[in-house]
Amino acid sequence: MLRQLRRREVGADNPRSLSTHVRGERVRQINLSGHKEVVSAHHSGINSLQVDCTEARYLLAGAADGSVGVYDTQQPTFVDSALHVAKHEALFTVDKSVHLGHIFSVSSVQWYPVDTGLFVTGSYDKNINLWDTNTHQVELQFKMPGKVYAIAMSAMATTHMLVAAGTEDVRVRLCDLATGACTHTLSGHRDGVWALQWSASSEWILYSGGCDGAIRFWDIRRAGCFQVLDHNRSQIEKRPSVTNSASQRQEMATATMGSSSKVGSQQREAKRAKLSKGSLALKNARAKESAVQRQHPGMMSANDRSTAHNGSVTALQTSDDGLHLFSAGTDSRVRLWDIESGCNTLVNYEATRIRAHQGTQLAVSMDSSLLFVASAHSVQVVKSFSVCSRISLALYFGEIPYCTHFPHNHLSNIGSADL
Amino acid sequence: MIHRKPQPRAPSNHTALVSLPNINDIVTPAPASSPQPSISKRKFLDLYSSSVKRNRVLIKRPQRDGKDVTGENSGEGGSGDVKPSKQLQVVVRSDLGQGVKEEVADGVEQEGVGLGQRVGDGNDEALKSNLEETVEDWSMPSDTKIALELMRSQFPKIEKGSVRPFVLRSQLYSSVTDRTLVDRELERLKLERVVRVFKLNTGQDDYAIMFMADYLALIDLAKTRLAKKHTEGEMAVFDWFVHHVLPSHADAGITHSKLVELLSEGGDVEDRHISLLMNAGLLTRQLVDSTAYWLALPNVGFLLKSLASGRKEIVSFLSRRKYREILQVPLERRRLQYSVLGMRFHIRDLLGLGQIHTVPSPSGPIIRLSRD
Repeated sequence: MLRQLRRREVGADNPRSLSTHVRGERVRQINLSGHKEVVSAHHSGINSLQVDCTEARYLLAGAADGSVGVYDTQQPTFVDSALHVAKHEALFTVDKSVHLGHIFSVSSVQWYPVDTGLFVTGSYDKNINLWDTNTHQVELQFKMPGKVYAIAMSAMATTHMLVAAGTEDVRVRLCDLATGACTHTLSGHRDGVWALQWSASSEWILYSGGCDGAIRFWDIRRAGCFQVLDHNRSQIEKRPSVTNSASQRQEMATATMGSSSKVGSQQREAKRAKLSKGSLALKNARAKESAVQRQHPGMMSANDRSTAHNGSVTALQTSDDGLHLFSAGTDSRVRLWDIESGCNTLVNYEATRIRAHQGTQLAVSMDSSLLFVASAHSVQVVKSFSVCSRISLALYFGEIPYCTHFPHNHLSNIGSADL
Repeated sequence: MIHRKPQPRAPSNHTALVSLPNINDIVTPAPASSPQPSISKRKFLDLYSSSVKRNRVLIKRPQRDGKDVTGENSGEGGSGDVKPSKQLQVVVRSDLGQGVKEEVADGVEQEGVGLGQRVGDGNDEALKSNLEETVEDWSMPSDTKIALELMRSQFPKIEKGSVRPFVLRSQLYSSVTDRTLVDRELERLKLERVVRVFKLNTGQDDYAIMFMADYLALIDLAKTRLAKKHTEGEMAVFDWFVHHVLPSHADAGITHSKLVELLSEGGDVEDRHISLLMNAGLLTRQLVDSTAYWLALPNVGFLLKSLASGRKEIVSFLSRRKYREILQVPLERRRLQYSVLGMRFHIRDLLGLGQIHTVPSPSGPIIRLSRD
């Protein structure tokens, strides 16, 4: 270590390489911190946590009793010198006593990406609130048609201030903070949406994962989703060639087009009657219907029923470079996807027992080498891309629904049901 | 290196497996259906050095354990000349279920006789020419393939005639250490149409893997069972299924439109053809999605029930014990009351699922229930 510092001093080593090396070492030795404790001001389990990305200082926590608390992770409020434990208490909490505060459980929270003056929370009382951090008041409220499971704001958006909301309704809604109205409705999922994530490489691309097991990619400038991930489509260390994938997509599109108008317009019996006329008639029928296409091109993908997981998708996380997407599902599988080609890379993370009734969270370390998965009673740390070596962190007594890792100060914050 | 000539065993009554074999010490004798040619130890070593570059799978493995098809027979002929390589350890274990043992032993002995003669001639030219022939068409089978063949040969014997051996995916995970490798190699085998993967309805992530030959035999059985009651025109759909659907579609599920499209290549498809396939048990409607089907194994229902109840039995047995564990050896000697599939099958499956794990101890491996 000293030798590396010396080399960096004389200029033999790149300063960046030293810092990434040190960071990587520290992350690999992650362990439960014995000298820093965050004292929860909530009376029930915590559903969602986030550390702000601007300063990496303030922790926002949303709990199941409808309260939201903000904690300072760098400045302790009380230091117990005997045990050498620094306690961090809440700077403030807001709950149902505040005007327009949440009545039911808060399912997800997020800081405004630009600064910590605002934060957005979504809750089971079908509302999304925009709060002002200094006045502790609700600035804007959006009413959703169903319980809000997930909200997300793009960290790199410069031209829009849209909050994506996933609810038990099948449509993903985008609400604009500047105007106070819902601007987009993205249809395509067949069941509630539990996980939402904006792309790390583009401010226009949104990934959503639903209860139906499908993961869809949306470009909000266009209609409809442009990709649905299918766990049967896989790549082994090399992306499939462009012509191959393009022809696959085309054939899928024509197949769905053929079936969509039938399904949409007639009953099953009528469809069988059509089929019984024979293959020639079949081809004629399909040609006829494609000519009289009644479906909006944006809705075509709605008939693509590929699933990314055999159960529901509980969590999504992009890697920092924006090339890979991790997804966790209730079939106890965590999958790694190549975003560019939309293929399953078939990396298998060992038995992670994920049993969830709502969305959870995956966290990935800064250089995307480690993945933190909250499984039944522990947090598992696995290497993202290679043969996984699982290190299980300390056990908690309750279920762990959420974990976030913020690499700047090497604190990994984990929320559990009885925290 | 250890060479052992396999003694032709008198058929014994008890199933021979005292401990679960680790994939790295198994040598599978060539099963009857496999087309791999016989090979001598010297040839194998030569091929190994040339195939190291070709096959990435070999390079990644930390321990080089070679696979030799008939190593035991040529060992006597060539052992004097061959320098033992530190990395190769050829361990022969003829540890077979009863049904497969006889035919394999015969095959092995025949090959041994042939080879012994060739090696005994001391004719290097003949060896070299054989080498040329075998280099092109012989490639080192992957870990996954070896594990699949081993487990297929160890599938428990069940009296019902229509049962063909299959392997569960979780069993593969318990035998080969690297799961990513298993997934990828399985994907390759699927694409080469060597095996077929089916989704089972016993859990959210249960898949059964069956060799193509077995699956085709199952289809034939189903066909003959239904042939009496249906016309020729309707029975043609089985041929269309085998010749058009199976080669082009490797997934476990298929949508209605794709199915109709593929079957139409054989002839006019009507709804009663698809109903016939469903009656035969080859297709099942998906519960989640009404327009898609799962490709299924016919007549496998009681095996799945056995699977589910066997799993439950072992897990409940272990959870009732004081420390939720038991030594592996006595566990394997126990008989399962609710399952015909055998203790070894279930132990492998549960290990792969992660519900139990093995712990080494001075008195042998201990099987312990994983903490939830």
